[in-house]
Amino acid sequence: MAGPRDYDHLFKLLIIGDSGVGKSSLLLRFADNVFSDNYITTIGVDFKIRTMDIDGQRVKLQIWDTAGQERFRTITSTYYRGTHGVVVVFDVTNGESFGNVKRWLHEIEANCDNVQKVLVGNKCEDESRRVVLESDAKQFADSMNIKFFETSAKEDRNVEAMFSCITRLVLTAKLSNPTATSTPARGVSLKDGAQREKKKCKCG
Amino acid sequence: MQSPRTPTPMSPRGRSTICGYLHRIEIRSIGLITRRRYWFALSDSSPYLYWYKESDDVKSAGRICLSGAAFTYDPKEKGRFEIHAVNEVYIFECSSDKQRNEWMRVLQETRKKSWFTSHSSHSDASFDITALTRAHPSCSTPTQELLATCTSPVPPPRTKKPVNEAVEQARMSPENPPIQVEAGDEVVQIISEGMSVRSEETDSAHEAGSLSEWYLDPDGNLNDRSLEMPKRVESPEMVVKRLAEKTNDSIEAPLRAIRRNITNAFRSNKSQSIDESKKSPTASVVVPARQESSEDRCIELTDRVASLEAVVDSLRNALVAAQRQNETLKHLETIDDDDELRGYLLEKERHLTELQISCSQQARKIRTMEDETRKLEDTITDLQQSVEAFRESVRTKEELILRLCEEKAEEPTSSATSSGNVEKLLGDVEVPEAILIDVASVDCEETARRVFDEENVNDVTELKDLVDGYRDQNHFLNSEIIELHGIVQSLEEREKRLIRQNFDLEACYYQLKSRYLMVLNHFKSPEKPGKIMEPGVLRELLEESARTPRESQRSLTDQLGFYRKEKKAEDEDLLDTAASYMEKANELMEATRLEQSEEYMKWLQSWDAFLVNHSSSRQLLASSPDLKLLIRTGVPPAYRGRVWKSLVSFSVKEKQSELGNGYYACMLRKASSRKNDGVYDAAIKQIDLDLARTLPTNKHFDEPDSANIERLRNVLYSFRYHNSHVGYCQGLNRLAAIALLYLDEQDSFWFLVACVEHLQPEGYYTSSLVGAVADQKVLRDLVAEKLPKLAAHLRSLEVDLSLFALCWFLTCFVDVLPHSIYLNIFDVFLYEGNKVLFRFALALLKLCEPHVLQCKTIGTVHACLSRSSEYIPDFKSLSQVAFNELNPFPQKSIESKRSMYLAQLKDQGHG
Repeated sequence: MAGPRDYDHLFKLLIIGDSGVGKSSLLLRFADNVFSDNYITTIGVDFKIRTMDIDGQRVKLQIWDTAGQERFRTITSTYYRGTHGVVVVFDVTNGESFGNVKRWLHEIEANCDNVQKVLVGNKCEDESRRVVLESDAKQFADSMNIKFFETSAKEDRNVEAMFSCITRLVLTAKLSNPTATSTPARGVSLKDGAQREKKKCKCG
Repeated sequence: MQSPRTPTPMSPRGRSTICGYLHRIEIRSIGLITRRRYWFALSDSSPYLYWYKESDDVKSAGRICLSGAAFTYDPKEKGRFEIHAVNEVYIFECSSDKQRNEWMRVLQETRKKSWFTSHSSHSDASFDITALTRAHPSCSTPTQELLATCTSPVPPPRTKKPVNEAVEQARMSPENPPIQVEAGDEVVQIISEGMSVRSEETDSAHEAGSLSEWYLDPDGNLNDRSLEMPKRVESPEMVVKRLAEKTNDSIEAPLRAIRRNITNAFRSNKSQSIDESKKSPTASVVVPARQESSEDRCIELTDRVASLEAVVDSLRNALVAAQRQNETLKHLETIDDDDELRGYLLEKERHLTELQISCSQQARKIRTMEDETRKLEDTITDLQQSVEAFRESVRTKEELILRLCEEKAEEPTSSATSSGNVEKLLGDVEVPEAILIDVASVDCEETARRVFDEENVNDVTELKDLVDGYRDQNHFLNSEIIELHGIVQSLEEREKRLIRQNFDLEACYYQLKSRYLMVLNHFKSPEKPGKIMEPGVLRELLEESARTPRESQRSLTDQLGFYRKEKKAEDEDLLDTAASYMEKANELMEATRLEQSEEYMKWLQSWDAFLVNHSSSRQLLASSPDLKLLIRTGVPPAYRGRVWKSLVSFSVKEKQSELGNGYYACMLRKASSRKNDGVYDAAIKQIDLDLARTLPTNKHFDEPDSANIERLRNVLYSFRYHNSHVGYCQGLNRLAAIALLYLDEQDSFWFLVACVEHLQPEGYYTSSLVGAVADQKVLRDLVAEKLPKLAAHLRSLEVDLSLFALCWFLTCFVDVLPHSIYLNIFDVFLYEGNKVLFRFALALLKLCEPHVLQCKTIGTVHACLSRSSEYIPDFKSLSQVAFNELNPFPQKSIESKRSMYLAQLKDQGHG
C-alpha cells in the first residue's frame, strides 16, 4: 500500500470540453502512455493518478476526466469542487468544439474560483481535417489570459508538456499564496451559485 | 380449454413444433398399469421430447432423447404409440389416430433434424444438448466454426409443403375411411370411452392439418389405395358365425330378450312373421332353435283353426237343413189352413234357431278365451324366466357388493368412500332388458334384425379400419426403417471418417515427435553434427511451429466477437511462452470440463425444457417463480437470442401492438428523411460521435464502417425519434450494441425501448438524468444499510460512490464487468428490471469490500473498484451474493427512497 506520504503536493486537475474532443485520450496518454482509436464513451466521471517531478518536488496529480454530453453536466459540475487546475479541451478538426470553449470557461467561473486553466487544441496531427487555426486559438487564449497548447494524444505531441505546464501553474500559485486555500467554500452557497450561473449561460 | 397446436409453421424457417396433452402409460414391475396425463411439447430446436405437468410449466417432468429413438404403433390400439429409446419403451396415448399420426410425423422430423445438428456438431457426445451450444466460447475451434457456417443454411423447410398439400387433399377428398367403432364389441367400446376424454381438444384446424402423411404417395398425390375398400374380407357367414359365438358367449340377456320378442311377435302376427323370418336369412340362421319351436306352434294353431272352421260349416249346414224343415213345415200348415198353429210353430222354430246360433257363438267365444289364457300363460312363464334371470343377476351383484364391502372393510381409512362405492354399484345393477320390453310390440323383431345388421356392418367396417390401420402402420414402419437405416449409414460413415482423421493426426503427431527427438539428439551429441540430422528438418519444424500461432490468431476473439485479453508477451522468453500456452491449454481444459459437468448439462436441459414449451411465437411468457429462478441461473449463450426476444416482448408487447407492426421501419424512415432535410440536432450528432466508441473490445463494432455500426446507428436514430423526451443519452449506445449481438435491428430497437421505458424507472436517461441521480442516493442508503463498514470507510475517505456506480446503473455494467458476467446480468435485468441492478451493485461492492477496506486513499479505492472484475470469479458467485446473501431486499423500500430523493432533487431544481 502507498505510504503515508509519498508526495510533496497533491493536486486535483479536471479535464473538460465537448464530447469526443479526446479528453479521455489525453488522460490515458498522460497517465498510462497508451493510445487506442477505440475508447469507450465516458459515462459520468473517471479519474487517473500520476505523480510528476516538478523542480525536484514530487507532485501527485489526481486527474478527473468528465463526460462531454450536455446532460451529464449537472453530475460533472459537482466534481469542480476542490479543483486546482482545469484543462479545457477542444478539437482542432471541430469548429463547434472551439466555439463552445467560452461556455466551458463560464462553467469554471461558475463553479470554482482561484483555479489555474489551460486551453488545449487536441487532434493536431490531423492537419487535413483541421478547421481551427492555431493562430486563432492562440489569439483567443491570449485574450482570455490563459496558456494554449496544441496536442496530439495519438502521436503523443505536447501532452506531457501541457500537463507539466498546468501542474507548474498550480504549484506556483500554491507556493506564491500558501495561506489561501484553493478549495472554495463548501455547501449550499456553491450550488446556488452554480444554478444562477447556469441560467445565465442558457440565456446568453 | 387447451387445444393441441399442430404444425403451425413457427417462423419463416419452417420450424415444426407440436404440443398437446397425451397420456403416458407406464407398466410397472408388479403389472400395475398407470395412465397419467401430461402436457407434451416437441420442437425441432431440441432433440428431446419433454413433458410437463401443466401446459405452462417451466420445469419438465421428463424427457426422451429422440436422436436414435425408434417409433412404432399398433393399429389395433387406438391412438397409442410407442417410442423405443435407449433400451426403454415409452407408451403414449392420444385421443385419435389422426393425432397419433401427426405426432409420429413430427417425431420423425425432429429426430431427423436433431440428428443433422448433432451429426454436424462433430462432438462425441453427439446426442446431447451440447450439440446445441456451439456458441460457447470454448467450442470456437476452427472446424466447428466451419461447420457452423456449413449448417447455418437451415435444411429446406420440409414441413410446410406436405402439410399444405395434405390440407388440400383433405378438402378435396370426402374424408378418411370412416371409423365407426361403437356397439357390439365391448372391448373397443371401453377404449373409445377412455379416448374420448380428450377428444374435445380436437379443433377443426387440427383436423385439417393432421391428415396422415401416409395417405400420400411420394409425389404428394392422394394414394389410390387409401380410399379403396379392402379386396377380401372374411366371408359373411364366418363373420356371422363369429358374431353368434360372441353373442352367445357374452350377451345372454339381450339374446333372451330377442328370443322372447321374436316368439311374441310370431304369436301376435303369425303369417307375417313367418314370411318376414323367411325373408331375413340372418335371423333364421342365428336362431334356428327358436324358429323351429314357433313353426310347430304355428302348425298346431292352423290345425285348430281348420277344425273350428269345419265345425262352423257343419253347424251352418244344420241350420240350413232346419230352415228347410221349417219351410216345409210352414208349407204343410198353409196347406192345412190352420193359420194360428202355423204361426206359433214358425215362432218356435225361429226361437229355436236363434238359440242354437247364440249357443254356437258362445262356444266360439269360449274357445277364443281359452286361446287367450294359453297365450297369457306363456307370457307368464316368460316373465317368470326373466324374473329368475333378474334375481340371479341381483344375487351376483349382491355377492359382488358383499365382496367389495369386505375388501373395503379391510381398509378402514377408506370406509366412507367404500359405502359410496357400494351405493354406486347398487345403482349400476343391470336391469335385464326383458322387463322393459313391451310384450305386444311388433317392432321388436325389426329392431332385433337391425341390431344384427348393424353389428354385421360394424364388424366389417371395423375390419376394414383395421386393414387400413395395418396398411398405415406398414407404410410408417417402412419409412421408419429407411430413416433409421439412413442414420445408421451416416453414423458409420462418420465413424470411418473420424477414425481416418484420428489416424492422420496420430501419424502427424508421431512424425513431429520423432523429429523433435531427432533435434534433441542432435543437440545432445554435438560432436557428430550433420550425421543424425537431415537437412531441412529444422526448417520444416520451424515452419510447423510458425503455423500453430497463426491458428491461435483466429481465436483472438470469442464467439461473440469480443477480443480476448492478450497478455503482452513482450519478452521472447521461451519458457514464458510455454507457460502462457500451458495456461491457455488449462483454460480450455477447464472450460471443456465445465461443459461436460453434470451441473452444466442439467442447467442446459432445464433451459431446453423451458424453451421447447415456450417458443416465442407460441405463448408469451408469464411471470412465474420457476422462471424467475431459472433466469437467475443465467441464460445459456446458445439460447440467449430467443430468450431475450421473449423477455423484451414480454415488456413491450402492449406498446408494440399499440404502435403496430411497421413502427420501427416508420421511425427509421423518419430518421432518414430528417437527415435528408439537413436536420442535425445534438442527439444525432452525439450518436454519430459515439458510434465509433461503442464496444471497442468487440470485433463487430471496432471498425467504423462495419455492418453492425450501421445497424447501431439505425437503432439509435429510430429511438431518438421514437422517444424525443430521452432522445439520446450516452450509455444507450452500449445497451443497443449488446442487444445487436443477439437480436436483429428491430428487436434491438424494442430492447432499447424495453430498457428505457419499462425496466428502468422514469427519468433515468432524460436530459437531467434525475432518475439515475436519485438512484445513486438510494444506493448510498442501501450500502449504508447492507454494508455499513464499507459505507463508513468510503465516507471517511470522502469517496462518492456515484463516481463509479452511476455508470453501473446507466449501462447495466456493460464495460464495467467482463461481458461473460454482464450478459448474465442483462438476462436477469430483462426479466426483473431495475431492482436487480441494486442487487448486483451491492453484491459487487460486497465482493470488493475486503479489498476496498484496505485502501487508504480515494485513488486506491478507485483503482480497486476499477479492478472489481478481478474479485468476481464468475456470474455464479456474484448472483449467489446478489440473490441470497443480500436478502431481504424489499422493492418497496427502494421505491419509497427513490420517490423521496426524486422529490428532493426536484425541489433543488435538478429536474
